[in-house]
Amino acid sequence: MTLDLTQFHGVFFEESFEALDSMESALLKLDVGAPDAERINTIFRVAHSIKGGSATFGFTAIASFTHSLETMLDEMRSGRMHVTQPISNILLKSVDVMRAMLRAVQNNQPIDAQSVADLQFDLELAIAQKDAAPSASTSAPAAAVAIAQPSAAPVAVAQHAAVSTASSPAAAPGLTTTGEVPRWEISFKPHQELLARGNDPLRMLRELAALGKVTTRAMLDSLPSLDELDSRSCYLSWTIEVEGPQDEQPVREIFDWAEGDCDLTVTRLNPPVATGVETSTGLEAAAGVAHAPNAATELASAAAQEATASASATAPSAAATPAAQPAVKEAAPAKQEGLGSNVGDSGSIRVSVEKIDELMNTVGELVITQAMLSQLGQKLEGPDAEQFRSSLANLERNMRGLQESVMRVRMLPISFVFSRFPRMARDLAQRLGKQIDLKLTGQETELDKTVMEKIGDPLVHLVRNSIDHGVEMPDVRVAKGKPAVGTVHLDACHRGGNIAVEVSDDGAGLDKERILAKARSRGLVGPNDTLTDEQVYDLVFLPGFSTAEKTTDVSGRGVGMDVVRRNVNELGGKIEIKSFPGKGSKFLITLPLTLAIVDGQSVAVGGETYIVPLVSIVESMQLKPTQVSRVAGRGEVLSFRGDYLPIIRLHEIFGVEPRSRALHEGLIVVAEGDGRRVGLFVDDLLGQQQVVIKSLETNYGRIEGVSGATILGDGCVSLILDLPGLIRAASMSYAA
Amino acid sequence: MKQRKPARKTGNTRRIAKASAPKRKSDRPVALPAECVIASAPGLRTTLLKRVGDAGNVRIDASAVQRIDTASLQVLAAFARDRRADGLPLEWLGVPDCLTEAATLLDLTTALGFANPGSGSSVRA
Repeated sequence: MTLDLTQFHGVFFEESFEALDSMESALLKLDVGAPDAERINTIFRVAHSIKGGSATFGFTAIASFTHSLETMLDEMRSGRMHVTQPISNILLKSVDVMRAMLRAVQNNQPIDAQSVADLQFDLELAIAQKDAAPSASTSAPAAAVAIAQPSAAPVAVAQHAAVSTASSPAAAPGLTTTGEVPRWEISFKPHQELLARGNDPLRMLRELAALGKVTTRAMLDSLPSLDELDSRSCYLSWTIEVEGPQDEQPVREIFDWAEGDCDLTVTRLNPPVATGVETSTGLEAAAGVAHAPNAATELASAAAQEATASASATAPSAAATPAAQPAVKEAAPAKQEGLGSNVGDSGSIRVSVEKIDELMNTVGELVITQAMLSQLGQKLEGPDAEQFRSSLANLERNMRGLQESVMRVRMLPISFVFSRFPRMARDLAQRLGKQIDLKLTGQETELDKTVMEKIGDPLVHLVRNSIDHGVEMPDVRVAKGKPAVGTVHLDACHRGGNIAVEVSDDGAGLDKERILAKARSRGLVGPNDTLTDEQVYDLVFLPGFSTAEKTTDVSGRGVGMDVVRRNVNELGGKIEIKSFPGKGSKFLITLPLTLAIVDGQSVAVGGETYIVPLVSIVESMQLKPTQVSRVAGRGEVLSFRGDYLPIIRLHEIFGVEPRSRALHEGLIVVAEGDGRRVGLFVDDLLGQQQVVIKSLETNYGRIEGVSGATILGDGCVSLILDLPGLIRAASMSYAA
Repeated sequence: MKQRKPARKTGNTRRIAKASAPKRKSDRPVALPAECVIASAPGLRTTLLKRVGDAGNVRIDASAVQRIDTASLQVLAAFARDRRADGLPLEWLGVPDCLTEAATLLDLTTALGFANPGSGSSVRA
């Protein structure tokens, strides 16, 4: 029977990338000189899982590299090698290389063999240099197999000498803290269908023999006579004793493919004296990253197996276990407990985004249907009308609850984005010769997955800017009376239905004079124009605007500030700058919680209803004729708190016949987009409501000034205005 | 499970068979194929079923075997054990290393009769 392993590739890559992220963050927290043992264990487990997975799937290059990495980590874990800065750098580079390799394999592209080989060489060199102490190796027994055995005694099988090499720490029999070689008893009871499913106990026993000295005892009690035997069923079972493996995991891995087709217990016959160490490692391994296809199930079963094993291990098991049956029975409750506790620990499942989007869509439709019903209910009269309305109110409440729950499913903590920054800050600081303390707060703040995906790049740019341009060199800082270490602070929090993400630093702040001089030299600002601080800072968002005296590889990469603002605007958010000369600068991004639903103000223009996102609205007002003036070539403007704002007549933009063309007979909604404010002329304000955004691009096509559409309670389609786009469209039409 | 017949007490069948040339058709050794795998196990079982009650010495020629798996070894073990239970002789011819290694790993040398000359089986490499 052949199994198509490619179906598991996606999960493997996904898990490996996540595992590498956790490995990277653990590496960054690793103290040079005095590393935390548990952290090294975490890192080791990641390498081990990726090695196991890639070997299973035949990604030999990755498996080979991770093997070297694992060897080094094992040396560190056992205290034979120390964590130094160069070693820490090599480990971080290994994360990059592994990520690149996985990405290459995922995209069917060639692996950059040179960089892999270089780093692997560094790894092995580091191991060779540190590994002065010879490992305690037991003499490999001869490979000869004796034919004649005493009938009653268990059969001792000599391992293949070639398989046991010193380079494989997992395979080499080592010594425990007690000085004893670990001995494991495996009760392996295949189910009848094991053979038919392509598993061969012989192959597993060969693999076990490669781990250490194996002694097997076969149980033939269930073997029927030949005429009753089904040659594809397995009737045999075995008790196997293996001497050598330090951990239970490599032993269990051999039986991975037979999972579900056999009863398996692995018991340590000589538990180490140092209590807790082995057990905790085992349990953490179960809670750690799973390496093979089905993570959730495997995690659960691994935990169950661990629980089973530890249950058996803690019980004073007699050296000679004649019948494995009672052992299995004892282990059964432990298995249950193991499963239960695991569910409590990480009761999560992996769901595809498409499924959630589908659910979201259905909920959106329900919201519309509910709005229609509510509208209908208001008109109803009669004895049952009141009851109907109260039921509708209930429905509305439940709908809102449902909607919020579904939205929460899509929410992820912003730490997913933040987690990339410690590494980035470390590398940048090293390269620029600066000292940076990166503070991350509010990492648990949740926001929509789609928003999160799009906010990553702008944030990278802002953090990079802060480190490159904001924070000064240590000597400059000291001269200014500041601590040599500069602080870059990333903070996220919920602020009234929005997410506020702040990137601040205690650097030099934006240089107003330089920005202004640059803008003047480029003719963006007239020589005599006076600008407010806000307007000056706004200039940095103009395309191609940079005050950097020299372009470094740091500031030369990625997106510019104009793209940052465009990305933020596309998300329906806004960005503000605050700067304090000599004290630092602050970039504040405000984002909507989700892109699926927007709080909007519905406005009437003629017979049409439009939705203006509440986040864009500054205020609404009725105009007095005196407030309006006409500017040649720029249309009408209104005076608003000492400022003049262009008036956009929505009926002109959308070609609708308005109720009245006289400005004082309608209303003005002052709204802003792209940092510019305008007055939208509308007939009337209708009310505020949450609307479900339907993509116009998907269903119709892109229209400048419109970000999407929604279906109103009365079944009519209403367009949702996109202020930045609308302002662009209006200025173009006035210019024309 | 079928009740097995009690082992015969006749001592003359318990001797080690001589490697004399076969005189009758049934004296021919059972030749194992090069690949003794799960796919060929049903065929092996059918072949062995015909010889399980053979009163004479049954010889199994394993010299061609290059690969053997648990399913085939299990059939062979059942055959050898059934014959042993009936007190019937079994002789192994040309046992290759791969077979001994597999039988040892699975702890089936006794069941196959590799290691128990006294029980009426014999092995000749």
